[in-house]
Amino acid sequence: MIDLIDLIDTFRNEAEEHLIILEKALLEMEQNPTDSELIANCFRAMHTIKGSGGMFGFNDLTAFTHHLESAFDKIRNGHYSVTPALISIMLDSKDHIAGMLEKTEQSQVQAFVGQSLLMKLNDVIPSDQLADNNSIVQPLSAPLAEQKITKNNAFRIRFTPCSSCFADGFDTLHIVNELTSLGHCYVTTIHSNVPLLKDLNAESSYLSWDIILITEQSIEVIKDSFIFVSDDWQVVVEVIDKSLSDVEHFSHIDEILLEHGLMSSTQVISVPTKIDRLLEKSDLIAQADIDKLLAKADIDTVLAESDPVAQADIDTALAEQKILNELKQRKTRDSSDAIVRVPAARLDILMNLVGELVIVQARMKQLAKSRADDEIMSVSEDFDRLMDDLRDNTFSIRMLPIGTTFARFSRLVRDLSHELGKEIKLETIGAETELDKMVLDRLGDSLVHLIRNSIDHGIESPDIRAAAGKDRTGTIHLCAQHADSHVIINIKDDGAGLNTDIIRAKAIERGLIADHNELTEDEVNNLIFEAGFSTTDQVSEVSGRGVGMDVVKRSIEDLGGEVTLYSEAKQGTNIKIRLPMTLAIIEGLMVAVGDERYVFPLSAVEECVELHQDLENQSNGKRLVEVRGELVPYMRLREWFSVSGSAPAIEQIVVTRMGDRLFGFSVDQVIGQYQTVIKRLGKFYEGTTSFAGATILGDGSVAMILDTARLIEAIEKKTK
Amino acid sequence: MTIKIDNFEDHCTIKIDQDLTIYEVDEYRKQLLEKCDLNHSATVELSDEVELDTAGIQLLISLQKQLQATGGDLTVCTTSVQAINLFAVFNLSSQFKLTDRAF
Amino acid sequence: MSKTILVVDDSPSVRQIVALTLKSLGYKVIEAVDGVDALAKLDGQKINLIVSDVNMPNMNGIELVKEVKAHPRYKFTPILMLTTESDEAMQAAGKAAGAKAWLVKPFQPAVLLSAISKLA
Repeated sequence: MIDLIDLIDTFRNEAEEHLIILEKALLEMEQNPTDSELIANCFRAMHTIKGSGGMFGFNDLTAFTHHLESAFDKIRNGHYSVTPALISIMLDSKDHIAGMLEKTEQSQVQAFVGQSLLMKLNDVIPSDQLADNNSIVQPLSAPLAEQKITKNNAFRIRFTPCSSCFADGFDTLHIVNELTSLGHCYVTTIHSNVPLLKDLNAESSYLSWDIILITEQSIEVIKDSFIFVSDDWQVVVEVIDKSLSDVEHFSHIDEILLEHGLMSSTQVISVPTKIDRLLEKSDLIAQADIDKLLAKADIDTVLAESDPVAQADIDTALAEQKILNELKQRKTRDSSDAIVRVPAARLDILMNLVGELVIVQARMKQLAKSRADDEIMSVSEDFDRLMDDLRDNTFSIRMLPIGTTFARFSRLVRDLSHELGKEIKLETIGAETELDKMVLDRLGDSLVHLIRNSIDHGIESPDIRAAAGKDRTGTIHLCAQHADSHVIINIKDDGAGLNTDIIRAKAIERGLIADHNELTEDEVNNLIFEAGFSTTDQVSEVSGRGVGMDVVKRSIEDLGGEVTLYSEAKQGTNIKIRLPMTLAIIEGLMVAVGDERYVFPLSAVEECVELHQDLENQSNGKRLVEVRGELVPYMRLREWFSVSGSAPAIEQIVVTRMGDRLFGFSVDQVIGQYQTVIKRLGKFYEGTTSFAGATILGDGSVAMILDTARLIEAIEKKTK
Repeated sequence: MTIKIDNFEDHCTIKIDQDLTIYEVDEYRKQLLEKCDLNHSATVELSDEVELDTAGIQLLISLQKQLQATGGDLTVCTTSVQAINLFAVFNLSSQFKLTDRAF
Repeated sequence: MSKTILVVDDSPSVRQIVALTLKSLGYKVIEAVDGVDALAKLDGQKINLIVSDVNMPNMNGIELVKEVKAHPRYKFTPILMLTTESDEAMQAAGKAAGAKAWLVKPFQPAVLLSAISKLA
């Protein structure tokens, strides 16, 4: 069965072949500019791409290739000859077309590129559709010519509705929507006049808009969007790009502002600090340009007091400059690396929808299985396969390389080691390792804390290191790698390591362990993650900021991860963090209690054992079960969640591990392993800490996902 | 036409289940000024059914400014496609802290 | 979320062509034959836009606008007036009453849709 996606792919492949033919012909034409066969090849390539593009919805592509096709047509008919300038424009156009094949609709940047190419082409081979002579270069001064132009124009539309517009029944949304539908829009909503809530007249409008619109529509069509607005609206529509073929023209923000009369030349000088702050923030301008601006400011400080330019004007100019800069970058960048920026909230909606779909898929599968219908079964299997791909792809969108987080730490290490008079270098490995953005965001603070610890307590001062025969410069290794569906992060230093004896003594003193214990060194060292443990009595400036290692451990466990510490005296410390790649999917173990279903996170489950009622052990009101010779406390989910009915004669106990402690939960039946999408619980369950989320089962019923750590905590609090 | 406002020690939650349009903004403003502790940060939860218009957005901006005046900020919590699209059309998606999580 | 438009015109043919045009684009349409009927049909429903004729028996378009603008539930509803007369005095009266958008009949369906997209 062939579907539309396949057809589009076929079209793409076909178009790419034609582009190869075009490129080859163009390169050969450099040597043989009059070879009629080569010219015919070029014409045919454009003609075919134009024709089929339209059928698959590549309208922008079709419009663009149309101009190339007619140019080749004129060459073919002997009206124009092939020149080196033409060949280079055509080669650029070929790259442009390749970029446009990726998506049916072109991006803002592509619109600019296309437009500038057509302008250049028009200089070499004037188009019938475009104006017939040089007047095209100055559309502003030649309004008549402008109307004939079918190419894209950039407009700037500024409007301030009258204050009664909402009450008049005008929702400006519709106007902005309409403008957006005309072409590619960059919208700035100016709300500087909106007062504080206490001073607000909620039914009056205080907003205004500044919109940059790239469209092939005429200024009349744009103005038509405003036909119904009353006279007291302020509406200004103007053409902003005179000739985009000369991109360099607008390379500086001050020039853009000057160009549009938004700023006098003295203001340009007077606002450099504001601009450069803005520009630095948005990374839009080279340091050299800022310096140039600042240099101007030094010369003319007298003018420094004049009115600053309105923030919104700068924002809009920035937007404009950003588009132009993107355009410049685009020229040198392979289009396959193009990045689309999407608001995170939209991604989250997509994730939710995919989550729902996974659930529907499970229901579908269940239904299909229950019917002896091979056709339905085979559709369901196809659906399964596609669904898995869709799910994996969607979740991968949220994955970010950990490198961005790592980058923060070099500065931290540098500053802190200076402060402490230590010499430390940071080495990072696996910066490209990807993690769910949410995990990454919540992991940052823990990593900072651990690195601070290494710098403060781990690595010795240079003299001590030298005396111990070590390199004066200590090293902290930060390493991330994938392992199954997990990511492992190691923070390793070559410092002094932990002093196990001190930790053991402290732990005994704090009552964390018994006087006579048989804990191994590693077990003792890991006690520093216990609540209320701190090895230094004097809290140091660097790592003692009130956050203990227990908080680090807790926040990593909240992310479904675990943290372990290995330390060797004089050799250093290695902290290993193991994290699930995403929080959106969970590998779970599903159990049944009466009619209820619960899911344990598989990572917490140690093993399952049978419980015969007659073997019930009790000690101080605590239920205990023997697992491999060890007495493990357990509780009955049935009682805890007040599930009605009575338990079967033989129950199952799911044994979970929290750190080094085991805890069991008795259930009626263990159903099995279950991969599922977590649905976050709404406000309704606010305060209910024993659930990590919920999932919807194939038959439409809901199963709660247990947060075992919190559940155990709640149980222990209650039994105390 | 009432909105649910809960004041906590350092935070205020505002739940809007009905529309947030020109028809409601004046009433909501009164309720916010009356019942909401505007000296801290606040979260507005817009339900999926909520219909939002420009007057509604303006109210949110004004509320945000009010909160920012005392060092707080506004988080808008919604999964409403209509609301999210509206923020996108007006290029205001980064104006508020947008989240899909219930508070 | 489909939008609801109230179409008020005493001419069944105009009403039908307007309704048909709107429905083809997914709008939900409520029809009323005059101002009185329109007010009755408004009752409690959510209306995104009113498209109304001016010259109608019982209650004309201008009076309807005044009623709607005084109605607490509908006072902010945008109103598009359709008229055969491009009578400026009539338009001025309508605008004073609160109708901000006007179309002169006859019009192409595309013109109507373009007008409506600016209002609802």
